[in-house]
Amino acid sequence: MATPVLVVDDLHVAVDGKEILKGVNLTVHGNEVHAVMGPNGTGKTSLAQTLMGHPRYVVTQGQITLDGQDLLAMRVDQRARAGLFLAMQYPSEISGVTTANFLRTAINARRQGNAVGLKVFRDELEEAMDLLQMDHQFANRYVNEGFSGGEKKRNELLQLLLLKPRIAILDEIDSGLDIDAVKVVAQGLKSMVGPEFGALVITHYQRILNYVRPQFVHIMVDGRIVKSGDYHLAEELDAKGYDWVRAAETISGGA
Amino acid sequence: MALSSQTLTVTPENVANHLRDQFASDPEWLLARRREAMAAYFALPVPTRERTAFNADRSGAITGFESAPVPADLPLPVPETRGGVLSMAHDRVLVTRQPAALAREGVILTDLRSACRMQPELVAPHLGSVIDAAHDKSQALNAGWWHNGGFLYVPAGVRVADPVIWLHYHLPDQPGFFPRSLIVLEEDSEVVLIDYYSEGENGSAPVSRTLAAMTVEVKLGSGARLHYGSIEQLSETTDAFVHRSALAGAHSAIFWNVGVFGAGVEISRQSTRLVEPGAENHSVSVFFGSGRQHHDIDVVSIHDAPHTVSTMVGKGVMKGRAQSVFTGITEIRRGARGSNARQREQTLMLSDDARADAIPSLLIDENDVFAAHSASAGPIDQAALFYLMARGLSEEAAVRMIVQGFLAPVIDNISIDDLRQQVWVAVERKVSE
Repeated sequence: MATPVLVVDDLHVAVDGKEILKGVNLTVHGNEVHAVMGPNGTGKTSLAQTLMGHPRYVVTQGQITLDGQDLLAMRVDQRARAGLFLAMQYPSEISGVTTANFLRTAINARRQGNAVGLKVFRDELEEAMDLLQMDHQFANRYVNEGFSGGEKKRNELLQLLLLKPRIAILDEIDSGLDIDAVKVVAQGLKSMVGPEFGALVITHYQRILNYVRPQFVHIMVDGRIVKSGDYHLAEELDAKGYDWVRAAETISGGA
Repeated sequence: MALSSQTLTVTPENVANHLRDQFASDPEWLLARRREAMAAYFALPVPTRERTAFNADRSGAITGFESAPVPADLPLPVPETRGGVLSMAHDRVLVTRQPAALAREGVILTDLRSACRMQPELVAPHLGSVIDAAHDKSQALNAGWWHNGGFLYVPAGVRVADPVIWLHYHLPDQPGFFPRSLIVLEEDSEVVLIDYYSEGENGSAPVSRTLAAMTVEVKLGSGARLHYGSIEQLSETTDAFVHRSALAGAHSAIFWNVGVFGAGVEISRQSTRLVEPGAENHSVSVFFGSGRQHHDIDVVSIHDAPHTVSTMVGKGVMKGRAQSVFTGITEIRRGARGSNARQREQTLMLSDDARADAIPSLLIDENDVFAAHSASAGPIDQAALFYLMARGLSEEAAVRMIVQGFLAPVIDNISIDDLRQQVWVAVERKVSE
């Protein structure tokens, strides 16, 4: 299968009539990990939610394609089945539905009638849980109900490993995690990266990037990517802070 | 066989004629009761609920309806079970199957009208003793005109292992549906009973509107245990008044598991009186409305003796323009010391036009008791819907999963295997509608 490519072209997005994204350009290929960093309220989560198709985010201009297909013409579930995955910042609780049942239903939704065998599913599930250092009992608990913040984040990664998307967006997968958990989650993500998988990691902090080692780092300010570079940009940002970017933005914006 | 139907308006004169024509085979004591109920009918109120409009058009149906004879050859489905089966379509008994082992132990499983003729000494003292016929028009109508129903008698100390199944078929060409059943459990007996109310397809053109008044009376002797399950799946052209009531003796226990899926308007009341110490009432109600259905369900637990226990759970889903009102009423009377009562109501609305009210009510007249309730009603969680769709589930599949998850903790706890499966089948049918 061809390597995936997600292209975001001049994306403008409004929420309740207010423009949040003001022309985002971004391309993510298979075998690549991109990081999007930026201060709070700058549009990172809006970008993630828009890519997945949340109805609250209205695209006013620009386009998004996955492997050449027009994502904006697709419903949320169609985007997922086309290979897009969003690890959410605040995963929902689904009462009464076990994690295992949910995962199997989601896997089968992609396989269109060719349902995964129970044994195969169980083996893959347990292997993924081991990689993420999760108790196997986890599979029998209701989806995210009563989970700690860290457990919810691991559950997002677990879904990613099992659903095997082509492009994954991870929205603050590191928030609320202790350093050991950050390492585990980063390892889980890295195990996926290859010619058939690319990732967009949205984060506030450089910490997780130490382990994920993205090839591309983008800095987002006020609804736009204002600076892109390699991994060293994240280190520079960590040392100098966001004020440095804001200052640079003002200068370049005035030029 | 040509079927003719005739319009019958409920007037005193017609009542006398109808009783004579339709119920000639009944014993005189029963006919006297029927006459008494119908005599009271005219002065009684139409049953109403605060939040359920039963409009003049619909209530008109209660004063007159047509009746047609039920043919003898009705190939309606009968479940596979090792336990007893009673299948009826209106006054017609289709199948009565009582395992020989049960008969040897003195268990009686038959239709109620046969029981009135054959075992009047067992029936007469109980029939009408749990539910007051003079409560409203629907009860009077049932008490006067009930066409038939089930009778189950379990002698002291007998435990029936396999579920007993009753099927009450409404036929689409019948504008009146008045089943009435009686369950009597003597001391320390135990039985599982599943009571189905369904549409019987017989190829006839359906009438535009049916009025149903359905009654179940239960008497539990000391230490008796009844697991009662029911699924109502009548057509939406039927307006149903349902009244189930139990009198529970010392240390007896009743487990109600009732699923309401059908009818256009259903007004139901399930009332359990715990009249002797240590009696228990455990009630689970599952209801699912779609289209323009309206379910108004009262579940009542009356603690009238010390150390009585009740738990009450109501879970409902409304979609389309359907509406529901679930009212849980726990009444703890003076002297019911040490009683323990809990109730929990939860409803889920799948559309903006659906409405589901959950109203808990505690009436407590004794200090030394424990009582708790919780109630919630809410729309489907849009964030959860997005979350599931973002994993590849279609909107339909996502809604189904949320509904299943909402109901699973209650339905999966139904201890009767057949009933649990049938409730899931009914839920699935409603979700897919």
